[in-house]
Amino acid sequence: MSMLGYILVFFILAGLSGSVIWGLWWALRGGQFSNFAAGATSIFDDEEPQGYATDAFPPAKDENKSEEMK
Amino acid sequence: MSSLNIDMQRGVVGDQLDPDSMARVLDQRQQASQRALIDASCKVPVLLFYGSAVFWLLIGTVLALISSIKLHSPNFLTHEAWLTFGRVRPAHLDVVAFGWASMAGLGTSLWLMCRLCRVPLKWPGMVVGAAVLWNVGVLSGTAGVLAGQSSGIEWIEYPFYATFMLFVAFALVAVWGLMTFGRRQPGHVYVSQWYLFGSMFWFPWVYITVQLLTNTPLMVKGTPQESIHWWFGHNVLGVFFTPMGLAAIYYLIPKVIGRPIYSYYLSILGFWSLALFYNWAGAHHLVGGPVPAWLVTVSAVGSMMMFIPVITTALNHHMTTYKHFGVLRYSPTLRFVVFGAMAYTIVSFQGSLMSLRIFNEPFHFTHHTIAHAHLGLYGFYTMVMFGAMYYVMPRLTGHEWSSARLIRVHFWTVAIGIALMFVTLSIGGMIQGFELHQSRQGLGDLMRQHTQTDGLVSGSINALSDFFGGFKAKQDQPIPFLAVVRDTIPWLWIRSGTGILIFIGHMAFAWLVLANLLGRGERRTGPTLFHTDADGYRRSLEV
Repeated sequence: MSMLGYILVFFILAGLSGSVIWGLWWALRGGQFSNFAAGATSIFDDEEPQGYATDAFPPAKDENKSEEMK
Repeated sequence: MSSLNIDMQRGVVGDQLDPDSMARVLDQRQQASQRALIDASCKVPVLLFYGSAVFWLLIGTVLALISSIKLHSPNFLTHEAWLTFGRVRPAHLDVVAFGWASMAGLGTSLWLMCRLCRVPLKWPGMVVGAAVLWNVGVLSGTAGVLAGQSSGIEWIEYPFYATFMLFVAFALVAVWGLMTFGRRQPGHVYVSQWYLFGSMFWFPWVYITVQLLTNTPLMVKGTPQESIHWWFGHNVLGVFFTPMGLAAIYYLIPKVIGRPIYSYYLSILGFWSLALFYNWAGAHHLVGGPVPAWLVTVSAVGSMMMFIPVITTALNHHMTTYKHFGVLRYSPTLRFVVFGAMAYTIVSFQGSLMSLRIFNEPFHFTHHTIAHAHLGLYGFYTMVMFGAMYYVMPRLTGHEWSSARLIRVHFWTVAIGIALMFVTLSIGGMIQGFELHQSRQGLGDLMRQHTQTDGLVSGSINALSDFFGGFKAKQDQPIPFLAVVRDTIPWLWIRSGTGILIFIGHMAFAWLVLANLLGRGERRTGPTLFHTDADGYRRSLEV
């Protein structure tokens, strides 16, 4: 491998590793690790609250028809 | 809750409202309209990614079947050069990896990123352009491989013109994803966002590195090329597919069940340990190769450290679903995602163990490795992506899935297919590995011999030692190579059978996706919410 190749690989790997460490530092500084309980519930809101499931098989066609009849 | 008469169109609410209720209602309306805006902004690009992904899934499965049949019936389709195994098999791998898996993952990532950042996708036309370019890249790359222009390096067989298009397209998607992250609403960065952020940020880096060092004047050859090759080969899974799959799992399991992750602390620990250790693991593919021993040892250490993120993730997935397994009966998304999460645990444990020389030496270059790869990219990643698409698509099209029966057909054919494929290829690969090392003795024989002479405990240890470490010394008589090949044939026939089962499942899925895109399913009035009032479903949540 040429010297240019070595230099390239070094900078790429240094950048890749550095990005992980920078990200960790950014998260620590930004308080991302301070309130885990709030973090875990951050995907829920009033429209899709805890305790409600948000996925189901589509109803059988017979059920659809009976609902339409009603 | 107070009884409120809410009309989402006109904003009319009950005539006796206290300020708190009014604020809540307004907040709900704001969230609903925000969610609708996000889904509307993502609709065209995400559905384009999904539709293309399913198209490539079908092509990839046909190529897989042809490759699989050729392994036990080598005279099948040999009259044309482009149909020979050396071209069809890499074309299958690339179509599945860059056509299906990448496009399904990118579509899911974009939608998740917008949902979690709570902002619409800006200029979605650019992402549509990226999806078109990605399709052109996959098409031209696959045509190039079938025409004999493969680079010959696994995972990066596509010619340079195709990889360049893929890189530009991915860079566009990544920039859009990171821009969305930059515009996010203030608040917590959910663990799925970390995983998505990781895959979008790291993959272009890894991809351009391997391209520069294998496809340009900076090209390296010989041993360094293999080191770089497997560093990339493993990182495609580790820093691209795995983070996208885990991001979807961490969002979908809690969301579908309606309860937060069991331990958010563990989920964060899992992400950061994956970020720190996965990147080291690639060189364990070179055990026994002409590379410095320290390189392989460092890689094995990195692979063993992967037990930390895997155990934390497995614990979290299992404990979140624990006591709620009943929901699996009612949610197609959860079925696929939980299957994928379980496969992730198994394949990761297996992968870490396979990095050890003692396991790697007998099983490398056998069908055992193929079983492992399929469990990873299909049993884990693909199943999670199926689950994600079952969740996302109705929210974008506004239509329900058209047939519960076809969803069940899809699930059971692919679940049984991949499970059977994994088991048969693992067993066939083990037999192949031991036979290649010219040992006719199985573990049972060794156990019997050693325990009779050395007692139960030391005899068992000696038998295991012989089985894994001393198999080279047990060369009672050489086994001809062709005899080893013949012994694999029954397992390869079963593999083709499982492939047909999986293909049936894919056809069912493709039909469902097409019907959903054409608006065949029931129209939903609430475009983003799929609450159900089924009694059984409610009871399963209350357990």
